[in-house]
Amino acid sequence: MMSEKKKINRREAIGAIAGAIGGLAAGAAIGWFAKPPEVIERPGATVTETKSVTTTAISPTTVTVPTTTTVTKTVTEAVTPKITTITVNWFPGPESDAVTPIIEWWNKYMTPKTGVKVELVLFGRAEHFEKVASLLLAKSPEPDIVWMAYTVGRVYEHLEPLDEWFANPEFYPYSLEHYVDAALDAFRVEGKLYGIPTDMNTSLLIYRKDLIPEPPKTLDEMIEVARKFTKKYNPDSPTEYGFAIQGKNIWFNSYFWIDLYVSQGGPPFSPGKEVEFVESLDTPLAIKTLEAYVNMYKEGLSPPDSIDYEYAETNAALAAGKVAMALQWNAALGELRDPKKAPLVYDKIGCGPVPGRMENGKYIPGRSEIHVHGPGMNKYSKKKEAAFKWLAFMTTFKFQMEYLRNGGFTGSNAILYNPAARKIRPEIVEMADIYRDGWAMTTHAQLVPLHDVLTRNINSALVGTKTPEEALKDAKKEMLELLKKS
Amino acid sequence: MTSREGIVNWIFITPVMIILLGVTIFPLLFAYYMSAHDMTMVNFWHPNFVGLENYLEIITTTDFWSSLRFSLFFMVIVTTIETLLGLFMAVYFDRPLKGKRFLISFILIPLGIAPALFGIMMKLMLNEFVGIVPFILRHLGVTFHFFKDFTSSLITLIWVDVIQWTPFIFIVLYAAIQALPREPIEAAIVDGASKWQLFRYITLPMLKRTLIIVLIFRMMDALKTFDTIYVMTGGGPGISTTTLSIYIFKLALIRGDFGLAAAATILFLYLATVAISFALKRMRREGII
Amino acid sequence: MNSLVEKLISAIITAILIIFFGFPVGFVIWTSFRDYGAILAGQFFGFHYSLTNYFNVLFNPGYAFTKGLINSIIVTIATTGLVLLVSFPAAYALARFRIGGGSLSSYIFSIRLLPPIIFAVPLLVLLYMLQLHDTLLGLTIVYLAFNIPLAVFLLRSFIMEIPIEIEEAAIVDGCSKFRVMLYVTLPLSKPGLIATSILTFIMVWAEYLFALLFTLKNAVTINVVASQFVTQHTIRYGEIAAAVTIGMLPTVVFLTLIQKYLVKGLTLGAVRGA
Repeated sequence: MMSEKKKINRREAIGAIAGAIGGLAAGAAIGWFAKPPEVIERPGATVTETKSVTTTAISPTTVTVPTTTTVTKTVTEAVTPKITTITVNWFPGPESDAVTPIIEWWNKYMTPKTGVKVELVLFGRAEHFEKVASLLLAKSPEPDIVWMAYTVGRVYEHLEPLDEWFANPEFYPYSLEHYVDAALDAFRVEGKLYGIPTDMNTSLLIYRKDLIPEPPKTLDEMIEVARKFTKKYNPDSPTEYGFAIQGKNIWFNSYFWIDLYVSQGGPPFSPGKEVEFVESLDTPLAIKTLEAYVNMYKEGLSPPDSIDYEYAETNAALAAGKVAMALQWNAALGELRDPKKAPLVYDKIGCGPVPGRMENGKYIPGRSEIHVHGPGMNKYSKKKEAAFKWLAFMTTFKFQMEYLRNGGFTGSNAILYNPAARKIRPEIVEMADIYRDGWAMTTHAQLVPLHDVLTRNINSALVGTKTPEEALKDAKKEMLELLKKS
Repeated sequence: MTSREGIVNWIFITPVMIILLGVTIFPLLFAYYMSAHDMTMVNFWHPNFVGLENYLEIITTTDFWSSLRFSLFFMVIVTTIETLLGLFMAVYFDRPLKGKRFLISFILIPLGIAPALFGIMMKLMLNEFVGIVPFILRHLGVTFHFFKDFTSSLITLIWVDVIQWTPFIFIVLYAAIQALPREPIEAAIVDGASKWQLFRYITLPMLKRTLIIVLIFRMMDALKTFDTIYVMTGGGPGISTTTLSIYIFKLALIRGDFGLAAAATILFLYLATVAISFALKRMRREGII
Repeated sequence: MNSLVEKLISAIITAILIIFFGFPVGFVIWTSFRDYGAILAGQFFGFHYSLTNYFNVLFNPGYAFTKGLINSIIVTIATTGLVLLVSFPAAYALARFRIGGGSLSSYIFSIRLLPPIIFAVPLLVLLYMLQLHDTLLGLTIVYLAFNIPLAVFLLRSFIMEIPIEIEEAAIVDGCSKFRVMLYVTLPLSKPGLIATSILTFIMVWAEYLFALLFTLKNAVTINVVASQFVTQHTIRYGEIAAAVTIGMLPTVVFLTLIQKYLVKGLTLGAVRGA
């Protein structure tokens, strides 16, 4: 009996141990082999003479780089350059959808010429910026290009300053002039450029144009229209609610209220003007605007669950035909006007500027904030030259047109006023003025915490745990402290 | 016990100690280090020493205490529900049932789905306009908004947590019941014990040790709840559903201040350790352990 | 008479349990077959079903799903096996030898109490220094460390339920401690081993934070890949549901198989005169 048990036990034990070791070995083997081979970057074979070039100042705050560049490289290797593979991190979603065909094109046609191959790496949106930050903090050499967008104020220490690269005609024969000012400024920290704006975003008033022929021009008008389309007040309303407030306690939801506030006359929350904005938060105008916003929720003009809405839920509400209006990111247009994605409403979606105000009998249109997204270069990358080739390519018209065609949208005058571009994306016509009149959202290092505080307080006001006045006073206090710290 | 025996005993523990210490000692020490410095994302590699300033700031921040309070509150509720339900299920499944194996596997599935992803799916399911649960409820005449305010959000979060984690308690207790010696049970049945008496006076005492362990672990995990809540309510409305983990996460990665986050973590660790050792001493004294 | 009522009650209870736990799971599976438009518009009836979600998940460039699946399987099996291998002796020692109880336990508890986020950045730095970032080996080692605590304590409590007389008998027969553990206690701890392996398997499989932060492209697990469908502006519910559904399969397979060993009455009659 005992020996039988022994046999079985030994077998089982050996099996378990073998399984474990096997698993571990397999994992290690795969991990080992799956590591990308170390690629040594070898400079292309070029020889240059001393050149004297003047580069246009990009903006008053740039440090203009010395204009003479002497680069001499000796021909060391054969003519065909070794292929360097760089890892490029992009934002998942429409942005990555837009850039993937371009990357495929590049790998097919440009790789032999430039010696640079691009590998795309994506992180989930929910933790994207946290992951980028962690990687940079740990001094990871990959990805070579990171999508850090508005967190540039926080992580710029770990990014490669790009001014010198762009000023060097050896590396960069084009110009950055065509970008909208606000776009490039969004990527400057202490005057140095750390990224390239490839996506420009703003918020709009999205509304059902089949139900509302003209978008409301003032805040009061908007509230009236919302009431008209809320079943509670108008039983004949085709929609259940007139408006969808994005009330979730996620930091960027403050943008919508800020847009309303600025359009009602508040100071913009722009780079360099942060303190002015925060100081104004407890003025009667701010309080009145927040009260109006909160009352929309309290009076049931917005769905009860909208306290937890962000982008996706707001789109769902519009797409299901349940709400008539919302302040929403412009990217929503792509979704809501697609017959496959919004079969019920795709041909009924209109967009307009944030409602403005009447001042002294004159109508002053509303203004939306503009913020940009884009990548920068990892300071710890080991393949900077190769990575810069890709960065340079991103500033060209070809890239931007293709990007536009695939669903992205770059903040460049070349695109905004190009007839071909306007044909591809008709909403550019609608939005060109909004972009023109918009104001740049701050890029302060504490951008996210500042908004986090404001959103939290707006959220409290919506729920009713604080009055709008209390909420704004608390927000102002905390935000000033944050600004003082940095 | 000869000293040689003592050494042999330690060999049993050595691999565990090496792995545990190897992996966790550095981060733990690093956390202490961070808590004593002003360390943000910007000056991560050259921080400034600030001594106990971070701790002071955390102690005087009401948000820290609110999140601690909520974590405790949440933990007590979900652990109680899950333990009772898990215990019930473990006992209930201790009988021949058709397709029991498949049923148990099915019940364990929510445990095998990443909490963050599960939270996302639940949010969709409960979405007011496109979710199927409100749809069904509406047809039954019930209107319940799942994320309207603190109370409804709390109920929703508790419900999702129970679905995910009751199987944890269940499977441990179920296995424990299988491992129980049959003789005492059979003897009691012969003696005419009812099902309830059997459970209360025979099964339960024998399960005590395992029950306590699984309870402790579940409590510790529940205190750390992060993914599901973060994904479903983001800690809102306001900060009413912000657990300690969410608070620390926001401090570290959204506000970018690692020093504060570390200080909050260590502070919590001390408070919890004090509370736990106090509780353990009491339990030992009363002979529960 | 009693048994009919009993049967009815038991059927009702089973049904309630199935609905309670199974409904969300069923919902996920159902969503994975629905069109994006249908999901967004909340159309429950009508035929908007397709396999596009699965197609997108499996074949989309940049999302590497099959790699994630294989990585998850490898890491989970390796971690589970190793955790058992290492924790069982430790649990045995804690249960029988009364060593390291105090300090080891407190250390283990402190690790378990801390939100994992506090470990994230230091561990990431550590992994980079050891060149273990984005490797399955690195991930496995981290998972080992974080799953050992539960395993050790669970196994310890299961071992303590085994009557010590059986082991003492073996010792009298001349077995060394090690052999006793291996040949006597181990087989009797089957339920404990099963429960521990189930929990470890499941919790490694469902682990999210570390997998997300410690991998880049080579060692991505299934959850990391699935999270890539949570995009900036949309949550592609259909694809996430498909990814999660595919992810359920190995878990279900493992669970169904391993329950075979979850048998009763191992210590039946082993101790005379109990």
